[in-house]
Amino acid sequence: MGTVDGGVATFGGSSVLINEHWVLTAAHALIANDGKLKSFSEGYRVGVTDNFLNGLGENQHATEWFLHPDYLSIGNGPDLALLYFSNPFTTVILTQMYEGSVQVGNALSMVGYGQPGTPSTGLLPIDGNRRAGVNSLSGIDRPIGYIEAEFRGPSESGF
Amino acid sequence: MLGAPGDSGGGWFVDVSGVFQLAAITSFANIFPGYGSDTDATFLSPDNLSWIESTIAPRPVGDYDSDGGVDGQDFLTWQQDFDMTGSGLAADGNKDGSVDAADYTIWRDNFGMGVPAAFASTTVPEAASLVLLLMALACCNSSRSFRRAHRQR
Repeated sequence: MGTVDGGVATFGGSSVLINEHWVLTAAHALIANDGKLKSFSEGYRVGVTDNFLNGLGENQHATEWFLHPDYLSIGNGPDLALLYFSNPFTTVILTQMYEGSVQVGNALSMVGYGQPGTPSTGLLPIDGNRRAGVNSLSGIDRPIGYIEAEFRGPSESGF
Repeated sequence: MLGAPGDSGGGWFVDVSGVFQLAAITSFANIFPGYGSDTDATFLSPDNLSWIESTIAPRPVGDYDSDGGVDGQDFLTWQQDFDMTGSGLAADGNKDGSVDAADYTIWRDNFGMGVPAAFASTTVPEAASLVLLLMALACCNSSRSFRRAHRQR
């Protein structure tokens, strides 16, 4: 995992190193909904780190970037982008791609730098930590290609 | 928990006999104050995997339009990007941050690589033509506004 970033103080999103030279992330981390590239002054920098607020760890700027040709905006088209790095990352565990199908109820492990919280605390401010959690798949939108996981407290419907 | 602001681009993994394989990329979340969120991710469907695999496949040097071969279309890409500076430029063959004559040389030296023989032309623009072209491009670029450097395929 890494961050798509225009500087240590600017956080663009999480990403996944799929091999030494390539990172997969969300297209909207690079491009805004108006179709314009987000203006990171330093370009797209990705770091491999446990906490992006404490530093980006091994990091470098992307050499090239590619948006999925069918992406239009968030929720409209595959929200995918690839970043290429001419110098290989060294602290990388190769990621295998899943080629099977998924069903509602499947357990999925999610990894990222998202906002923390529990059902009792609600959402807490971003603290920069990379986390992993397991949730079950609650919806599949096949025409669009999105899948959904719901996070519910014990007293909420759908828990 | 995940799926909130900042998690866009995060990975969703399926445990396949102890190996976590990447199945989706976090896209967006609907936040519900008090407990959490509904989070959507782009599933790596066969079509999406095909795009990823074709994009990351090794490309011949000089393949500026990323179609797998070095041909006349790459020359046009170089022509369009000529004199631009920045990172991520499609025709910046030597990755020095600018598209210039050196990148033309890279394209010329690799012309025909990865292109089926039946479709490859045997001629490339000659030096004299290149000089004229560079002069023309210099004129064009003096009034050309900044263009986005990224590549949409």
